[in-house]
Amino acid sequence: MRSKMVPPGQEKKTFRPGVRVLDVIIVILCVVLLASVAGVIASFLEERNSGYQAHSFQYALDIGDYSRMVSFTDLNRSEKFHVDDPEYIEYYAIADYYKATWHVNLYQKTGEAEMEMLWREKQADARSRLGFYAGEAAKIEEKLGIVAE
Amino acid sequence: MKCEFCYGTLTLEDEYCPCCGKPNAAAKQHIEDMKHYKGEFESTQKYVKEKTGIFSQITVRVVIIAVLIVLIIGALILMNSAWNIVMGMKRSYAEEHHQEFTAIMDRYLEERDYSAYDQFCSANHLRFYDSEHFAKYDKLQLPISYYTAAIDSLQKYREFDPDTFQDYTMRSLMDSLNGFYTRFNKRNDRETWEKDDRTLFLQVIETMEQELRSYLVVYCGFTKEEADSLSELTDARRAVLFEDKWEEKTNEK
Repeated sequence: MRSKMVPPGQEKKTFRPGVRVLDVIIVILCVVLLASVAGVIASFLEERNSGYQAHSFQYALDIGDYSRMVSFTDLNRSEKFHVDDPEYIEYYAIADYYKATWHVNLYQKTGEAEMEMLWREKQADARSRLGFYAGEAAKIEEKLGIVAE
Repeated sequence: MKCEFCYGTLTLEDEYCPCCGKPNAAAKQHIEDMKHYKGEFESTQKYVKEKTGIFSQITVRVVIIAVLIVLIIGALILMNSAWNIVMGMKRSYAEEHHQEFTAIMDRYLEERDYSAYDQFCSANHLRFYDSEHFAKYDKLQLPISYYTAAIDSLQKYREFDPDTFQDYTMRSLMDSLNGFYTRFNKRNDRETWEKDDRTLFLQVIETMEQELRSYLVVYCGFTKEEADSLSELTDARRAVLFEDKWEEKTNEK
């Protein structure tokens, strides 16, 4: 118990491995905590802002998967995600035109005039919004097997 | 005490007698003893400080580690609960704006835009939501989900292209159709209905069934008899019908 007396100010700092290990653990836990906080923020942002980006619409358009564009559009409108964004308006118009056209064709064949008229209005409205993609109207009609009148 | 030489008065701290100047042997011993005890005291004090210092260092770090672990666990719980928390927030918003929301849902139902209705309910967490304002739509959620999933699969089925319609899409289509027809066939079963619920439910599910039949005839090349028989077939017979039609149409192409 009796240690060698050392003049004040000249005490040697002793290396304590146990304390250093705890320091390392603290640093690791701080990094883990930062990652967890980032994860929490990302989770909330993902839940609140779920919607499809423009590149998803473009890909669906490139492969001619109009029904997928309809799903994307319905979701984005429900989530109020880029609803009035000019970059998306024409994609939404293509989806709306596809949806309206298959409804119009269906009701025309089943003789439901009132529903046919309702969806024709939607079809005309969507057509007016196609803009650069006006040519997609003919492709949609061809895909649905609709012969031009 | 007295000086051993001149009997003068001395104290233990006097190294020499103030009277005769002779050395005080008792004082010398006393001083040596005091130096020794002081040294022992200081080394003990240093030892205690050292040990206490280590203890405090370790204690502080352990407390910090414990706090960090609690915060990390809290963050992980929060991360896993994000969906529930956002759902709660969206449902609260829907309750506050229930008139606006029900107007949108009614409009979708009137227009028979079931895919938009389904996405709207899904996005706003209104499916299977036990609420007074949305009670009348409760039993519609599942049939509409199955219907929109079936139509979605049929959009690809109708192209009769093996490249775009794989086995898993056929399974998905059959699951959706079977789920829809199970609920359609049970639509008149006795259940507890709130006022107006049953009317809306029957109206919508019968309209959807009619549209499904029409879709199959108009877009998938089914005959009217085949389409009309769907509700009465078993799941297995229904699958056979769709697979036979698929084979028939892909061979034609």
